[in-house]
Amino acid sequence: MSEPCAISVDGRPVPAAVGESLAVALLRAGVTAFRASRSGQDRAPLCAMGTCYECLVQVDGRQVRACLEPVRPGMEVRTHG
Amino acid sequence: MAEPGFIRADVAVAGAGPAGVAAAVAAAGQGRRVCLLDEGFRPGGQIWRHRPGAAPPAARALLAALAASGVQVLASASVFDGWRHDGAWRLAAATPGGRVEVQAAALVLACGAREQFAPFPGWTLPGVLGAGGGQALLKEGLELRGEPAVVAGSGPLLLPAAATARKHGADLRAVLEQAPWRSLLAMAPLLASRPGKALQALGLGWDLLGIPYRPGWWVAEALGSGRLEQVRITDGRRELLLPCRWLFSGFGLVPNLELGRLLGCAIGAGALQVDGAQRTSLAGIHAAGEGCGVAGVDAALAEGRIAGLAAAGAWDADSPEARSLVRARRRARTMGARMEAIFALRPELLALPRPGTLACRCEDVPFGAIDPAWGARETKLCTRAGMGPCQGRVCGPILARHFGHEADTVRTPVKAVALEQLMVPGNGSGPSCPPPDHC
Repeated sequence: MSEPCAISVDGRPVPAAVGESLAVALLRAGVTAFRASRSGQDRAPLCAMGTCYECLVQVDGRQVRACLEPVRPGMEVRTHG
Repeated sequence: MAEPGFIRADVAVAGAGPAGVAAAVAAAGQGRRVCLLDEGFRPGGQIWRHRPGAAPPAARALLAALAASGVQVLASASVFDGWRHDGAWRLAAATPGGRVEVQAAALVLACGAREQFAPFPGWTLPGVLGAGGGQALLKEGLELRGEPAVVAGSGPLLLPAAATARKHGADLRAVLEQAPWRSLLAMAPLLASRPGKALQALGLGWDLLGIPYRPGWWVAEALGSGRLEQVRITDGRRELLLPCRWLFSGFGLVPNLELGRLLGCAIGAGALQVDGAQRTSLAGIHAAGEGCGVAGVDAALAEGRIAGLAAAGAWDADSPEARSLVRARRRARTMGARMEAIFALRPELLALPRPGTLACRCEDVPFGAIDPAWGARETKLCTRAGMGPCQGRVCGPILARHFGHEADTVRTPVKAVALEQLMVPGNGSGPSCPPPDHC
C-alpha cells in the first residue's frame, strides 16, 4: 500500500501518499488554481489523463501535468495561486 | 553497446491500456523483444487507473503477466514523433530522463481515446471535470467526504462514474443523461444479448440503486465564484438549480489518432483503418482498441492480443484461439456501434455556449470570436484556437460539431514537449537538429 509523505505546495506542507497522482494530492488539499489561463482564469484538472494540460504546475522547477506526476516525498510544487 | 536514450526492440507498443498491455504480453509470449511506452506513470491506461499496489480485479492477471513477461516498460513517456528509419519504425518519446528513441520492425498503436466535451457557460470553472477524468482521480484516491456532486453528459461511462463517485464519498445529487428515455429503450434488445453491459449502461446495477437518474436532462450552466458552486439543469422545458461542488461531465470518447495520422496510417470515419489481423494501411504498423473506433475494454483486449500476435508474426487466423478472439472482437464492436447511436448528442447542446463561453481553453478563445464563415485554418490563424499545449485535442471535436471544422492535419511533435527533447542527441559539440526531411 502507499506510504504517507509530505510535499510542499507553494511553500505550505501538504500530506500525500508516495506514488499517488499529484493531481489527487492537490485536489485533496483544496487547491483550485493549478494554472492560470492566458487571460488569468484559475484552472484545475479537466481530463485527468494528460490530454488537456489544465493541471500544469511546476515541480522542482519543471512544468508538469499534475495528473501524470507521481508524488515523491519532499517534492516542491508551485501552482500559480 | 547500449546507447543512452536508444532502445532496439522487435515490437514497440504505444499505449499501456488494456489493448497495449494485451499486445505487449502477446508479442513477448512469442519470444519477441517488446518495448511498451505510456504517458502514465503506471500501466493500465484509463480504465484501470488505481492507487499504487491496488489494481482492479479485472486488470490483475494481465498486469501480472506483463510484469512477468520481460517487456521493457517505459512509463511517463510521451510519444511525440514517429517515422520510418532504415527499414524499421522509430518512435521518439519525452521522458523525465530525457529524449528516448525506440526502433522496432513492428509497431502496435494502442493510444486509446480521450473524453469528448460539449461546452456550456461555466465549463472552465475549477470543480468541473470530465466524467472519465473525475472517475480516474477518484480511483486514484480522491475522496469527496460528503461533498455534493452531479454527474452529467452522455454515454455508458456516466453510470460507472456515478457509482465510483458515490463509493468515494460523494453526495450524489443527480445523474443527467442527455439522451431521452426513448433512445435508451433502444438498448432493450441488448439486455437479452449482453445483460451485464446493458444493465451497467442503463444504471440498474446494484451500486446505483436510489441514484436520481434523469434521462433527457442536461447541464445548461455551471455557476460559482472561483470554483463550482451550483449547476443550472434543464430538460428543455423545466429548469432547476442544484448546489454542488463537483460536476463530472463527459460526452463519450473520441479516438486518439494523432500518432497514427503522423505516421501516415489510413483513417476513415474517425478511426484507424485495420484489417482482420489489426494491420493498418502501413506495413509493420498494427492498431488495437479505441483508436480503431470506440468500443470499450472487451474489444481492446481482443484486438490487443490479435495485434500483438500479428506484430510477432504469429497470427494464425485458423487457430482456435484466433477464432475465439475474432468472435469476441465482433461482439464488442457491435455493442460499441449500437451505443454510439443510442447516445447521439441532442442539438440543444449546440445552443448552450454564449459568445463569452470558451471554445478553446488553452488559448482562451470564446465562441463569439469565431466567425461561422471561417474554415478551420482561418479560425486558427485569427484566434489561435487549437494552437495551445493540448494541440486541439479538447477543442478540435468541439469546433467540428459547432463549425464543421475538420482537424485532419498533424505535425511533429504530436505532444507538447520541452524544446531540449526535440533535439537529437549530438556528439558533444552542441545541440543538433533532426534531419531536414524530418523538420
